[in-house]
Amino acid sequence: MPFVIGMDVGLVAIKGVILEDNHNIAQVIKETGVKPALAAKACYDELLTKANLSHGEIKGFGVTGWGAKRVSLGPDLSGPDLKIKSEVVCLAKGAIWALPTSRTVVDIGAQIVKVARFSENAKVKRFDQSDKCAAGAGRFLDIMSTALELDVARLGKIGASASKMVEISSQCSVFGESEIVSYLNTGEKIEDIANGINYSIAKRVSTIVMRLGLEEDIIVTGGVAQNPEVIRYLENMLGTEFKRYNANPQVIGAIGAALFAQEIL
Amino acid sequence: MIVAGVDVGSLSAEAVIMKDGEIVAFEIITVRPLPIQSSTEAMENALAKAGLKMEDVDYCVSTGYGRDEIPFSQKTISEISCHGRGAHWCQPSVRGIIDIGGQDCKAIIVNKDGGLVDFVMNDKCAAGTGRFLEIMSKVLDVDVSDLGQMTFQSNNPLKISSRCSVFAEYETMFLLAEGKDAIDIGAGVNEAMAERAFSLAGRIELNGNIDGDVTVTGGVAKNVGVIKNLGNFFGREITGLSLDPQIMGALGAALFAQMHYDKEKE
Repeated sequence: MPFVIGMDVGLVAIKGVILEDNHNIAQVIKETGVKPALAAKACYDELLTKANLSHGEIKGFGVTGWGAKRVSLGPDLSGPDLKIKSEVVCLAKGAIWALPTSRTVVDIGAQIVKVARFSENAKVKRFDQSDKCAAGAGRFLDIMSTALELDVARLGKIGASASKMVEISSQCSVFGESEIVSYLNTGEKIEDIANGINYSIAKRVSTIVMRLGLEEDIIVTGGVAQNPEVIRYLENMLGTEFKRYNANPQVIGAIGAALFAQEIL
Repeated sequence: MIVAGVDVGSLSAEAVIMKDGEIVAFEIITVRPLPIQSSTEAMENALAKAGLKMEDVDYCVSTGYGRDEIPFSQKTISEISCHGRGAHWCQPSVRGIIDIGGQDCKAIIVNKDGGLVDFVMNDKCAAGTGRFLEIMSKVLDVDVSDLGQMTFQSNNPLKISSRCSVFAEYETMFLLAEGKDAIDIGAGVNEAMAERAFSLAGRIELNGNIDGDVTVTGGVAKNVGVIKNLGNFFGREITGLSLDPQIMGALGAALFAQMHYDKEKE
């Protein structure tokens, strides 16, 4: 079975995978930076190095995400022609790959929260997203954790140790940041603010999810899926339990893109 | 009779001192952590300029988001009423006021006496507020006060399509990385800002058809590029004010102080 590469070019991070016979044999997550096409080229090369493969051995290349079109305009990757697929179909495809019983995917990326319901063969039935504003998306968490001088990856853990919740009233990330600074000035504890941040993002995501309605099993993907407190709050708000799966939640879209590239070989 | 108005906003605080119906001094400062500190400093500086002391003030009205925490004011009045009153006093032909502050944007319609007719406010989202300009000027690595000129320097203003300030920041970063001219981006930022304020004003039917002049108050009124673009959207020139547009809230508060002092004396 030939090797294929899938890439998901997000606003903040590029996620790349190599699939061999449906198995994920290498993955790379890099910062997108301000030159997405160059970052994609670097991601492609790193994947090859990791899997110890040469350009010629890659038979398919699927790309998705916000910056997919920018990649096609970038330097030649010396591989096969790239196939661009929309994020939502890649997410559904990747979700079925990660958990065949899944029927709803909730993707919390840096920029957009997407919710899609799909059939057992990954055909998307319904879809909704937040697209006008960073509220509820990963960028909101980044900004908030910077204001707290915390690594975003620690926001979940620190929030879990809170003794109370400092509620964040602003939905706007810009105003939320000022709000947090004022809480710090008035002596609120970092863990209590972190707790409020985790709650606020879950609240925002849950309204988008409820608009579309859920169908079990549900999986959560995207960088924010790595924050256990957001997940816990979201499960409580939606009154459901998300199914855990054995893959990095950040690469599900990239895997979907790789699967599409594999299909058309 | 000496009256004072103090306006404590999110980014700046202003104080205006009036004596017998004339402005004798005003002061604009960057806010301190607490509204009481900001208001006291602005007030004391303005009083010092006028050669007066706090005890000389017969009546003081406070406005702005920190208005409830100011011990030396006798009354609080919303900044919407104050901005309308202040701008109308300055320029009696004004009926429409767009106030663009550090973290909100308001559109206000007043009657021929400066009384409030209608208003609309955005304080939920940074788009269309001074914060948006601050964020953009940081990405462009220019002082926010230099942004306005770019509208006149650019031959090819670029469109900023993201409404959200966070996304617009990224959009700007990518435009710069593609080698686009910072001046063209800055001109686009001013246009985007004006477009948002204009669309907010449209919600109370404050548009080019209003019977009377339109003016802009608040810190962003000093951005000539935003003013030029707003003029284009309104299809008429934006009326300038004879006084610093940033003090209109404090001025309105001082005018209310005068009214209330007179009323209480009766």
